[in-house]
Amino acid sequence: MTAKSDNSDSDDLEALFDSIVAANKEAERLAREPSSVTLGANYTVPASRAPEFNPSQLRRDPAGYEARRAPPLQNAPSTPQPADVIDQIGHMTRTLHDALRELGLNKKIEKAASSIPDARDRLNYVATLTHQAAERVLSATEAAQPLVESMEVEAHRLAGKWQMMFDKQLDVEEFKELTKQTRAFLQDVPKQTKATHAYLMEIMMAQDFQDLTGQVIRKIIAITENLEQQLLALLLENAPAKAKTNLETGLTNGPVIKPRNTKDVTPSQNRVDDLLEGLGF
Amino acid sequence: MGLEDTRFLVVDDFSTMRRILRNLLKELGFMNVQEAEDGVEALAKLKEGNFDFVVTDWNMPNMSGIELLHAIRTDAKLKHMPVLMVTAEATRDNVILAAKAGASGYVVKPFTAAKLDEKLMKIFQSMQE
Repeated sequence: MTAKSDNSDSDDLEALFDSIVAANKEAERLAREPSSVTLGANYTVPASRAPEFNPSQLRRDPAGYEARRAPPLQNAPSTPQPADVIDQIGHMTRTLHDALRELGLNKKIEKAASSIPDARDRLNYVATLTHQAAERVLSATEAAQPLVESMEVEAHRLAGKWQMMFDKQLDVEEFKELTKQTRAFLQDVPKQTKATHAYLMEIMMAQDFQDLTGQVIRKIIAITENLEQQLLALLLENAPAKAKTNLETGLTNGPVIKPRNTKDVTPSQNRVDDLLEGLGF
Repeated sequence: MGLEDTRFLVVDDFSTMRRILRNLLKELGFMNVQEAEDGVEALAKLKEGNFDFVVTDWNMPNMSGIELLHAIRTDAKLKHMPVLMVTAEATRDNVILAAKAGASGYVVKPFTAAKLDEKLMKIFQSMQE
């Protein structure tokens, strides 16, 4: 589970990297064009906010993506009134981008949000099971305690009598009575210990909730991780271009050499922290 | 060899459940119990020999109980090993799949000591027939 989420995390980050590189290259090319001095700023925003943040789409269709972006570059120099055309293309890109976002990302967000009731049900299940387990353990403990206590009390009483016998303080009748009582006690003890043992087994069996709730909690962790990814994607997509450029230069951490070098903070968590910080959150 | 000498391998990714199963088996008179935390570890131990009975969970990382069952049934030396599934997977499809894969018994979690005893005895009986 962890390895998988790490992979998809890296995929997202690689896609983000590619898209930022592509946007920068384009800005450079535009800067070299004589007519693009005033257009560069206009153009950067839609380019870096274009729908390349859907990584799966990028991987599936890189050529198509280039094709969609190609027209403005080819048309820009040859148009009589470049400013108007670029402006129009900018608006078209924005419309396309909004449409794609509604089709793609919003669906993802919707899907992630729809998993929340599921997570709530699962948490309720965990609450119920842990509650039941606690009740079972407390009931069994309360039932076993009197058994153990009564044996202790009776053993003390008989031991006292036997001490009196050794101190020669008992007459024959009292001694006969003591042997009868002792015999009865010894016959009773295995019954009591057996009952106590059954309660101990009950306490042990009550711990089976840990396995069942553990499985459910793992699923909830997966759901929340997914939700985090979706929210992060939304955040990155809607972040200002400047923040994303800062993000790119601020992430010179190199490869993750030891993915498991910290116990509490996963590499993917570190990346998320970096990303959020880079975006000013 | 008496029944109480049966050498068990308990396979579950949750240590709590392994302890519960070990204690239950002890309670039923089976003192020879070892543990593995997934199918991969279990299969490695089984291939070394020295086991008579497998009690396994279904849902585990690396290699699931059903994959382990399949590996046991396709191994020339292990294929007759009794395998009892003890799992929270409780759908019809799960049960049918386990049965078709050759599971010797199927216990749904949460279970009672009496239930485990009953299933074990049933398997021992069918082994002797």
